Amino acid sequence: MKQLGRLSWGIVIYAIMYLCANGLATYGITGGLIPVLCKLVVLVAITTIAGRALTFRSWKDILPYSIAWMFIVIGIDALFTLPLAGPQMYGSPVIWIGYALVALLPLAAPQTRAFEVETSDE
Amino acid sequence: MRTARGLFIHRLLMRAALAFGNLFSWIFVFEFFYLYSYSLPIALSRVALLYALAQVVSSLLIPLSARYLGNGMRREMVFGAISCASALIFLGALFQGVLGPLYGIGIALFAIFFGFYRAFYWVPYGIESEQFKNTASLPGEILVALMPALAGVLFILRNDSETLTLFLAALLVVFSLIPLIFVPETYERFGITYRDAFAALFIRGQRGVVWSAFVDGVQGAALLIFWPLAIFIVVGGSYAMLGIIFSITCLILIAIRLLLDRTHSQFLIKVSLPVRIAIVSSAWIARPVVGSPATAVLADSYLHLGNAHYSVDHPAFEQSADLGHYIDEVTVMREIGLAFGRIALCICVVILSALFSIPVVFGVVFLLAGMSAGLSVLLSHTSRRSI
Repeated sequence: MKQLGRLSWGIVIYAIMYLCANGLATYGITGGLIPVLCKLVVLVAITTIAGRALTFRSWKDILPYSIAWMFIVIGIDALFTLPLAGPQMYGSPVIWIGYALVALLPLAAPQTRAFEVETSDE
Repeated sequence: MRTARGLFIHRLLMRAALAFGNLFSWIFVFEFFYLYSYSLPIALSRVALLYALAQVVSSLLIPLSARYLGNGMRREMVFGAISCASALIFLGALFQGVLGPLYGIGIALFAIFFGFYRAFYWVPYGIESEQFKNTASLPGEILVALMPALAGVLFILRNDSETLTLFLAALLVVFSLIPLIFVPETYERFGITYRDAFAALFIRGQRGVVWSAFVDGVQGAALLIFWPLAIFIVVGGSYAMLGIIFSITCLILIAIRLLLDRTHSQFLIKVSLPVRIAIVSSAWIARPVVGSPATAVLADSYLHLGNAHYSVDHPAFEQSADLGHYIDEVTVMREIGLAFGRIALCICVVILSALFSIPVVFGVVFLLAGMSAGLSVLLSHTSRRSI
């Protein structure tokens, strides 16, 4: 059950990124580098928080979870965004870099903790 | 039970990925070298050198990885699996043309990361191993057996599917990490220093174990690298046909195992030692005369009927001591022995390729493998008697 709770961070990451993208679109910030940078900052923040929430010391403990989050994000994207944006959305390298970052950024989370944490999930 | 199921799903996905990509990756490398040099002997010797490089990396790292088992076995599995995915991605990038003139680095990285994978990937043994065995299923085995044919079908749909095959295999390896979430961390102690791990290979009392592993390694390299290459040449370079041949062989193998399990057959145990040696050796010696897909399937099926080789996971195209489980220090010695055996056969292939034509090289390779198979049976018999 603890593992399933940790997996749900994938939905949280997607939800926050979806809110961020919609918020920027609402205020008309859609073109250029600024929206990409804003989304990147939010993604770094939320994936670091998620990675820290696992309380693991090694990136090798985090990786199975972060890969699961990446597949959750890809799955929800296919369910909700694909019907609206069409398959051409996969032609953009930004989306693939985003997926890769969901898997990779949480791996740095142990470096952001200065105190002793538990070593594994059992 | 969830632990056992997590490990089972991880192994199933990992084996499916290896069955999909492992066989073809070395064939792609062979074809790459052939297109580069337009010479079969040169391509064969370069593949042998590359495989030997992977085995050198692996054998040098095995004692180190066994030492790190104290930090957690699951962590090593993650590292090993990521190394495997990296190897496939580097090779895929090479075929995609991403590396450009740096293709040599791409191929070397493929071999080095493949060596990393072989050295660091240990399957936890202590975790409810009985439950793990019970969750193994026939549909899963059939799925793994069909993977080479599926990869072959990709080539029917698209001629240049090398990158796609390798990236899909890498994706499957990455995906296989998710079930590890449900596998708890286990810690194993390895009590020998790096230097002593190699020194132990030459201790008189361990010679039987080391030689047995060595001859198994010779057979492993012949079976997993040079036999597929020979078939690839026989079928005229058809990836689809190669995949179908190996899938049919694996399906026949599953059927044979089922039949032997159902009838509780102890045929191979009951026959006398010389007959057993003759059976396992003849399966190899018959191979040089293989000239068609049907005879290739027959020869391969006969080999597996006659030789219950526990160190080779044929559907996944990999060989490991004790099926990848770390059991004790002897497992490490066996792994190094296997690697040395593979390196020895690769060196033989390099020398033979420089002197003789391709049919002669393959003939000698299979002859050596046949002799190793006979020796393996003899060594296991004498070690059992000495116990």
